[in-house]
Amino acid sequence: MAKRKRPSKGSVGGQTPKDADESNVVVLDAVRYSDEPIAKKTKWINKQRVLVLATRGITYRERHFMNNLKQLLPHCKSEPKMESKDSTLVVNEICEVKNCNKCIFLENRKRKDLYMWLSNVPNGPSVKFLVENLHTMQEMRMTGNCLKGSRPLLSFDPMFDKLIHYSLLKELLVQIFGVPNHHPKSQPFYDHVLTFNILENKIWFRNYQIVEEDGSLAEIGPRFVLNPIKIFDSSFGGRVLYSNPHYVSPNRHRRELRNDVSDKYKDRISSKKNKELREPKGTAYGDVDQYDDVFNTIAPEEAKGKAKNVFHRNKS
Amino acid sequence: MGKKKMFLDLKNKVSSDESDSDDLSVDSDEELQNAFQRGDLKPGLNQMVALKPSEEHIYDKTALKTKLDQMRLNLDWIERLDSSDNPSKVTPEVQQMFGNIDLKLNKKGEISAEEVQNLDKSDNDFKREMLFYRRAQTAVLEGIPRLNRLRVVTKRPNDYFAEMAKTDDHMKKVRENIVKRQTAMDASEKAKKMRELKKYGKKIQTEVLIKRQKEKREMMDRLKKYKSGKEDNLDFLDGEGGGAQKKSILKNGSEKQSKRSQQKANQKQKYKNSKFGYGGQKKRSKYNTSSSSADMTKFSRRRHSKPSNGKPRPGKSVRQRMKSRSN
Repeated sequence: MAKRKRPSKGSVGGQTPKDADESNVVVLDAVRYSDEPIAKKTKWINKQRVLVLATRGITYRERHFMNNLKQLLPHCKSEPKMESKDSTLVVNEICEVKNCNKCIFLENRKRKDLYMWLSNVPNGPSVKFLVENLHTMQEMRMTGNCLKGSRPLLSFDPMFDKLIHYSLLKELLVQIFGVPNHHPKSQPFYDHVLTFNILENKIWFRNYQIVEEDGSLAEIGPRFVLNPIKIFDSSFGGRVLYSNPHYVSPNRHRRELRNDVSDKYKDRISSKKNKELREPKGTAYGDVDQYDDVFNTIAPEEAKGKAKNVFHRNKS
Repeated sequence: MGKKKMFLDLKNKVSSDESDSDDLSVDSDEELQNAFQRGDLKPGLNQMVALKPSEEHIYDKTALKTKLDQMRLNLDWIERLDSSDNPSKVTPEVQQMFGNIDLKLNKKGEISAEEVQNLDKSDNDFKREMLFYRRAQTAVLEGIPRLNRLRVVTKRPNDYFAEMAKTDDHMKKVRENIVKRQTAMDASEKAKKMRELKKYGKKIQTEVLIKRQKEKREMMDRLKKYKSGKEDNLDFLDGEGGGAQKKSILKNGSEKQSKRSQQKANQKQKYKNSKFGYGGQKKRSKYNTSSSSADMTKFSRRRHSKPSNGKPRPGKSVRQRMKSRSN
């Protein structure tokens, strides 16, 4: 049975867009031989394959988020859940088996905190992030829609170019989130834009649909915030190249909140004790009456400090 | 450096159950004396400072740079599609609607710290989201023309049906949600307006009622005054509005005439009132006193006087003939 040649991307339903690049249009020959070797496609040069993986203990929201990532990235491959008792170095082996050169690894701890690893698998750097403010694509406020697997425009904050660690992160993000040109599973049109912004030393991710080419956008989702923790030299381990001084681990954050609450109680108790100590007790001050000073008036000219406020007339 | 060492030593000596952050609450006299002898403690106020975490923050710029060069893909822009964007300008319509949504920049060109603090910590801060939106807009406004220049099709034709990231069912639900929220908002707006209108209408109604009552009260007061004799004319019955109108329309001469005719009419009315008003007064209508008999007002002199010309009164038979003729 002769292999059916796949129609080119520009000609779905027999319609070819007139102003497309001419090499997109493939004209079929009148006669073909079945044992002729298939012409090599040389246009897909950016060979990125991303492995999207999660540990056990992942919650429903994060699972949906993982599915969203799989929908957005046609160049991804998925794996079933990994046992958390295996160390993160096992992920390298899984990537090798699947022939992937990038990895997004979602790790959930205590069913509360989601950590995301982005890694360039064989040698490259890897980053660990804490994911915050996660909203999936399925929320009702996300009204936009896009083609599944279409190539996104990537928009970065100019701050990414100013600091070296952000530049490294930018390169990693471009290679992971950017869909390769002429990828077989990608769709031909450009209808959404991913934005990465830096605010408060965190990376804010947004995904917008290009509704009109004059600039009106609708949010598709997902939306999340990545708080970088550490950048490692090699994939999922190695020497630490950068650690974020502004990063507060979620455990410490929760502890600080609890301490603040307890401090309030402690302050109250100690102030009560201090008041007791300060009060004059015993017979030494027996003749002092707390109402002695009531009828002492200070002349306005002699008032000092806060007592002046008594004589100040508000202009109302 | 020495102080740090001292604290470390103390930490080792103290028992291991120290869980609060302000540990090193060791100020027993012996240890302090030892430390002073060694020369670690200086005179003056010595403050206990919490130890910094043991691992310092690493920022290996050279290593980062080499790594970046190693992993960087030097491909054409068409392969990467990345761009570095500043937020687009705010259009005047948007500025009118929402006020100033621009974020202040500090000297370096980054967003100033006070703005960052003021940004609401909730998930949907408007200013923050608008900033991201405007950045995305710049990317679109620059990227799409750039793609078009590379002769790449960017816009999806309307008849191109392919798998979308969200299913049609989901989009239907989203649309219904939007419609529902819109109708709810409209209904609440309408209800608010109705309430406002009711309040306003009620206010107007009460005002009109009060005004009417006031006018009525004034009229009655004036009538009473007139009755008790304190006011001469009944001009007020015409109403201030009517009198003023007449004065403005008519000229000076006819104004006098109209006033005269008005007075005449009033006099007639006065007379009739005196005779027939209040059911026609019967109490003091008939008297037989000396004054009433001497009263000559009801006596018509013209009728009972002699005829002025010389003709005598005709006799009985002539008079009867005249009478029957007239019949």
